[in-house]
Amino acid sequence: MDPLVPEVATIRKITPETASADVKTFEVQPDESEVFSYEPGQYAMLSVFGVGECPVSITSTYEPGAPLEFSIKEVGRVTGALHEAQVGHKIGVRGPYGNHFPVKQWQGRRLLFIGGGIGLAPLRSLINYCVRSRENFGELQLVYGARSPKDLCFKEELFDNWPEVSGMQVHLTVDAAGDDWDGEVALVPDFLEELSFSPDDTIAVTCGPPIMIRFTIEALKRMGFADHKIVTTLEIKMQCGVGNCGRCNIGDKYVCVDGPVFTYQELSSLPQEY
Amino acid sequence: MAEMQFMTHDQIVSLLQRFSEEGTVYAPTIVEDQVDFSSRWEAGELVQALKRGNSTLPPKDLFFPQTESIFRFKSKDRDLQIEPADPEEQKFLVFGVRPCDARSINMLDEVFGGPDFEETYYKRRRDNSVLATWTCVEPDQTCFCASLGCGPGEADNADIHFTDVGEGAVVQPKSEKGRQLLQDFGSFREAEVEEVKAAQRVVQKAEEQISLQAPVEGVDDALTDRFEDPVWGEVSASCIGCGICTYLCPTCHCYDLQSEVWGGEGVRYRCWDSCMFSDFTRMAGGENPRPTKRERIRNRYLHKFSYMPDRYGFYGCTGCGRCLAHCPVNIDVIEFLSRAKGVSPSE
Repeated sequence: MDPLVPEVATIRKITPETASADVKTFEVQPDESEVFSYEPGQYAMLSVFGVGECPVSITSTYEPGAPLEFSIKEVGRVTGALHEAQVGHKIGVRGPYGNHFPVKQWQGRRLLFIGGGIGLAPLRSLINYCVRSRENFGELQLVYGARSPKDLCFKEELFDNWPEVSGMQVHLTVDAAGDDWDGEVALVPDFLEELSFSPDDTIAVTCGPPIMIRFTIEALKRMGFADHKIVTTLEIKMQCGVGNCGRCNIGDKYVCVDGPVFTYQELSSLPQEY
Repeated sequence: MAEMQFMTHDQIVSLLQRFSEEGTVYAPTIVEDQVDFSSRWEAGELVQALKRGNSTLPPKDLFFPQTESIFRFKSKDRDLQIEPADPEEQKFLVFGVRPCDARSINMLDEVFGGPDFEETYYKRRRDNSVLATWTCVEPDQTCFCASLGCGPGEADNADIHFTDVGEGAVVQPKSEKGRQLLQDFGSFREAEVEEVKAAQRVVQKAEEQISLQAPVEGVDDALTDRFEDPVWGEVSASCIGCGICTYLCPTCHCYDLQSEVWGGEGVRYRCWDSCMFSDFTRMAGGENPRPTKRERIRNRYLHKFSYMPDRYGFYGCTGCGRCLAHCPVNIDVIEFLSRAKGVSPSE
């Protein structure tokens, strides 16, 4: 079978993440086969037949028999069509694609996750991987922010599950809030610097809007993080996922197969075209 | 030289005709004032067509068609079925390919035969086909294949190579497929020493006719160093973004996946795309890492002369000269490479 041909899959469950439901999480199960095995940070191509196809990071963590989960913000044609879909609808899935967070290399390290908005989706796969094999990692810190309290994704995990994990701390912030919020009000990079984490034996992983990533990296560098210990994921237009349709290159790297996970050290040697 | 054969023009035509009984032969065909690879080639005009310059369009589309179905889908109520398109299994022979275009097929083999994913459509066409090359006896004024080691007489990756020496051609099978072709369909004798020497002279004469040189030596580093140079703005200023350079380029392989739907049925197809178009890299949210002609032209040149060498180990250019000959605003790759390296084009 050609890698460009997807498998038919069924949407089993749809969960609105934000108050306005501009982000929804879709549970998806392939009709004919088992869910493929994947690593945190990988993505899949989702098809809405007749509309098109787009890359979406897998937000679930692989477990045999468990469905795939995708948290999707409505931004364009395909994501718009997915947002109109209902439970029971058929979509196409192919993957997994791309590299992944090097979780094996990170064993024993402390991890600092920094997310903004829907950027928590790929981080969630990684965080839950670390939570499940908790003994393999050092202290876990999550700094996460959204535009407003209504825009925070994965609330159950943020407020109920992750704070209960031993050796894990969750720090939340919002850009702006009304009376319904008594937590931090600050931009993610500012809040990160205020919290100030030690770079000792720590890997910082950041996903979010490009502008947030830029200022987060600056903040991390001021905190003493070395370039190879700052890890991020890139978003770029992709079509094939297999490294030959040509559009997702940054320099000689194809984000679809060589990424989406890069260290800041790797990014520094590429043209600034992302 | 043991494998050098000789075939008269009539014997060549007869080989192609015999192959046609089992598969399709695509050969240079004069259509109005240009040469195209066509299955409706004319036996009586073949030699004449081969003497003309290179084809207007490279034979790339015989392996990587401009549009091809990937799969069909059918939906009824909530049921959905996918049926992968079955690439045609028919054998075919592409005859009279210039060494530069043969080299480009070699490059596409690397692109589509990537280590991680097994592409099937392009690969099946390659497996089912024979690539027969022809020494370029009349290089065009825009040809610079020699600078890139892609012609006019070399065709290392061909299955079989022909060099016209007047009444016939010296034939050199270069792969098992080529040897098989001669065994199954050919009628030939061993080439005389004089004929082999004549073939060498033809190649030499063709090489002498190529006056255009591209300063490619070390150009990958020169281009990378000039990533922020004003030269990109200057070169791209006249570009009208028509995409003809990518459409005619034998090594361009970028594509898009699109769908067409009628009622409950549809097809997902792959079609050529162009890095010269603004929506090539535009994301759903509106962000675009290459928003203007400056970034797009820069990426195209860097892709050919820096990124492809880094990724695959060869320049993504064969010196076929089509972009040079057909750009409506005369954007000149040689002039550009010369400027990037800080030399004048004639050096």
